[in-house]
Amino acid sequence: MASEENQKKAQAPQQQFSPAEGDGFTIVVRGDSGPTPAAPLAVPANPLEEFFYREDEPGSPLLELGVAAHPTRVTGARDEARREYLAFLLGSEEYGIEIGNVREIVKPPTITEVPRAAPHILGVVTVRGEVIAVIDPRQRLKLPPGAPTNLARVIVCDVGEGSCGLLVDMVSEVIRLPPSAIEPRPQSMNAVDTEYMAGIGRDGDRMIILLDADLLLRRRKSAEESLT
Amino acid sequence: MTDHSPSEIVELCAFRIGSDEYLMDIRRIREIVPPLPVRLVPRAPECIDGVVDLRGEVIPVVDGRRRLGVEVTPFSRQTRFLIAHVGSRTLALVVDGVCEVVRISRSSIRPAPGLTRLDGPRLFLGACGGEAGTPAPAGKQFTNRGTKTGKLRLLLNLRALLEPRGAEEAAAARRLAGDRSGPPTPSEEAP
Repeated sequence: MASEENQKKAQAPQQQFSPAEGDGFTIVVRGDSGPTPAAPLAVPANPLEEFFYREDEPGSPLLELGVAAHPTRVTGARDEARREYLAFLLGSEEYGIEIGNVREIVKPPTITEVPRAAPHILGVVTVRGEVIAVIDPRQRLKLPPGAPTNLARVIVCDVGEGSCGLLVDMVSEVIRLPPSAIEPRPQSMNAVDTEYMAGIGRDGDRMIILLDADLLLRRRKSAEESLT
Repeated sequence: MTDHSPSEIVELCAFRIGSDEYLMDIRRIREIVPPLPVRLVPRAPECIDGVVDLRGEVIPVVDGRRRLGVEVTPFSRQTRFLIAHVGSRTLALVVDGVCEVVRISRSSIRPAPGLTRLDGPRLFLGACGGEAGTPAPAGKQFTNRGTKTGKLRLLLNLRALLEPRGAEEAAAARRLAGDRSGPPTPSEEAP
């Protein structure tokens, strides 16, 4: 490989960079870097610098399509179209929250309890360096406690105030539901029991209880809890 | 500018385009999705094959097979879209399969073989693996399967992939890779 580089050196005017680290990279660059539409910039002394992602790295003008310039229009179209929900299990019942709230899904790390926290907060965990409160949806939904399982997951959600985790028994899938498949929450039931429900989705034989992520994950107590 | 020390562990995602495997910085990849319907965009740049709607976000699609000059096969069960960052923009790179994530030390990345193009950004910024019999590194806390299986993988420069003449450089790389690593060895990665 070294001989190939030397041959090319002999053929054209060139500059040669050797990085100070001494990791063996050398590149040969023509004095006039060719007619590329990419943003011209000083070629990095170490080509691997370009390989590793940095948020402030130069982009490519070829990606400036302008199609992402109307996010409101795109969102408007989607409101009428199917919405995507992340379906998960608590016990034997299937629940769902809008996928837009979900940031990631992780296997539950050890949960550190926080003394004197609200009853629905199980504790905190660390996900990629960030400390996140983990909420027990069973407590909010007045479900009996469940046993820990290997399939349990923490669904990390963003609800505007920061990130929260939701501990569930199992994550099923992402399901798309058209508005016609969603029934509003039943009015006849006790308002407390349905407080966190956004509706009930039906997919064939499946019934998925859709939850309002904002209400479920907010740190302030629900109206009912404030009274006790 | 990030300053990687040679012993630093980096995580690279190995993926397959055609019959060859390539590597990308895992931090560059936002997510990996199965194929989505691609909408054609009239008068788009030559490197863009269309756009996809990913949960309401419109993302340009770059077909890695076409950029590297390999056969563009219909989407199979193994086809994936790598949703990747270039600068502040996001694109969806179509690949024939995602192999694994390797954790390797920075020092086990070798310079890429010298190729045809000298002007403009290089398509391949390094190489990993391809040396049968290389002993496993001293630290046992990470795997280095790329080296053990002897499979040569080139580090792909995603920004340079958008350039018009990437196919020539890729063809030259495949010829060189074919000379170096011999017949493909059975893969031990999980799909």
